[in-house]
Amino acid sequence: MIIVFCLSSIYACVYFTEEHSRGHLTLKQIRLFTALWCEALAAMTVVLLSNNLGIMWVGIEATTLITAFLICVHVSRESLEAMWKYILICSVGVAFAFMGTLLVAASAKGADPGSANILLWTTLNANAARLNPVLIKVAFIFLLVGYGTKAGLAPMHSWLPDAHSQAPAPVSAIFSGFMLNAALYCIMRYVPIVEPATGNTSWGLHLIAGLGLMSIIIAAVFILFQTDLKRLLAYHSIEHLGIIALGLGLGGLGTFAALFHTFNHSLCKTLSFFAAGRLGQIFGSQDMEKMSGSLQVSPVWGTGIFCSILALIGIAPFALFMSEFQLLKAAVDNKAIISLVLFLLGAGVVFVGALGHAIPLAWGKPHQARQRIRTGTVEFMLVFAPLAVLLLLGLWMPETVSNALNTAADIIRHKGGTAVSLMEAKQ
Amino acid sequence: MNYEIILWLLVLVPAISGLVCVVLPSHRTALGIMCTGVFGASLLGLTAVKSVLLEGRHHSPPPAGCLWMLFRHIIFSS
Repeated sequence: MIIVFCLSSIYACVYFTEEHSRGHLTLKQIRLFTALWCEALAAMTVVLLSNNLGIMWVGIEATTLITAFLICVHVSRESLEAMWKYILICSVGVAFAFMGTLLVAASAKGADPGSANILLWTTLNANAARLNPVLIKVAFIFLLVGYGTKAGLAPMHSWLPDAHSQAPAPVSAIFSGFMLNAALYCIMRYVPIVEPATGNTSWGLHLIAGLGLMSIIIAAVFILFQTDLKRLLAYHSIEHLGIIALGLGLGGLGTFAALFHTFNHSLCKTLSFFAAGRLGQIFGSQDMEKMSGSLQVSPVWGTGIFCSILALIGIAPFALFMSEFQLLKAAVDNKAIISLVLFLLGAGVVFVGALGHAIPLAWGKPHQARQRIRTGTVEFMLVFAPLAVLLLLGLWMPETVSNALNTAADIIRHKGGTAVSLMEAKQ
Repeated sequence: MNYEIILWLLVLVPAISGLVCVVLPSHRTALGIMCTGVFGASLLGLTAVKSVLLEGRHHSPPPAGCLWMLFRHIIFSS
């Protein structure tokens, strides 16, 4: 979150200064953007930090309301339509999540953890085995549909391509790089509660894996037929959130792979939306046909979009290849052959489809003669710093990162409960 | 610094920066304050992450606690 927000804020300065100088945005609109941007960060921080699952829900609802106005910073018929679609669909989803949260509270009545602590994650985690299994199952279905809608998992994803394509590029970057992951994080927090409550039968994990596979397949089909660059990236987001959900659903090494993939996808998608936004400003369109030959027109941003698409389709040695490889290993270890086949099928279709878009986008003949655009040091750093990190993590993972991911994965797998007990166990 | 104060600030720094941005006279100042808020929160976030990963702390931030009291009052008292 820190990296995505910092990079996106620097990029927002470059992007909105350009928009202001071209007269596309007024001072009032930029003020509105900066205010909402900071409030969105505050709301997302509440989601991540809150130990109380009710407050976590409040944070998600707040992000929906705040970020809705970020979609239509550029006021147009299409952006207003995207905003309303986003508000309507996500509000219904968040209402489902609210029902799920109340049902979780109801399931804890028998466990008697004390009425004041009934929705504290630490309390529920400690009493997970004593929760009412029927109520917790119903609650988890509501939560999965609710937070899954916000995370853009298929078949609740229909708001996502419109919102991503209409929002300004820095907003699309935090949507894809952070907000979707925050919603999936809400689901992750329920996994160590639901699994012991349902007798460790992997009931909840199977549901997550099913939604993940559906997202991968649906996104793969839609990726083939996209003409708009930001919509293409939006479908990539659905695919990658599906991959993360599949990893979570597989459990074991899959949980580690899912967390690693979350980081890699966030960084890569941030870069790809930066490049898409800047190239959109240069070409005056998001149509991939009109943006062909981007490497000739802007070598830095052209490299950014091409390399980020390569990373997104899982080409080695980028870190996304490593996390997807670990996920495959987890599927083989679990003997989840159907999941493995469907994942490889989806990934194969995405590989062919995305590469078919990326090659003309980078090396095609420009739609009309243009001068080569010069880029400053900041823009250069915005492209090559994330790429360097993705390459580095693909080749070598520092022990600190590996330990942190393992600790987080152990919490999700409910091995020892909280971070505190895990630390104590390690000592 | 006290861990709970860091968590308070982590939520409040960007929230206050956002409110300040509404009244600023130029787009450069607004973008500058926005970046200051985000970077300030990020530095605090790094401190909090260090506490969680290295010291194993796991607390709810006080602002969320206050909100929870209000939420519980509205939902469960009716």
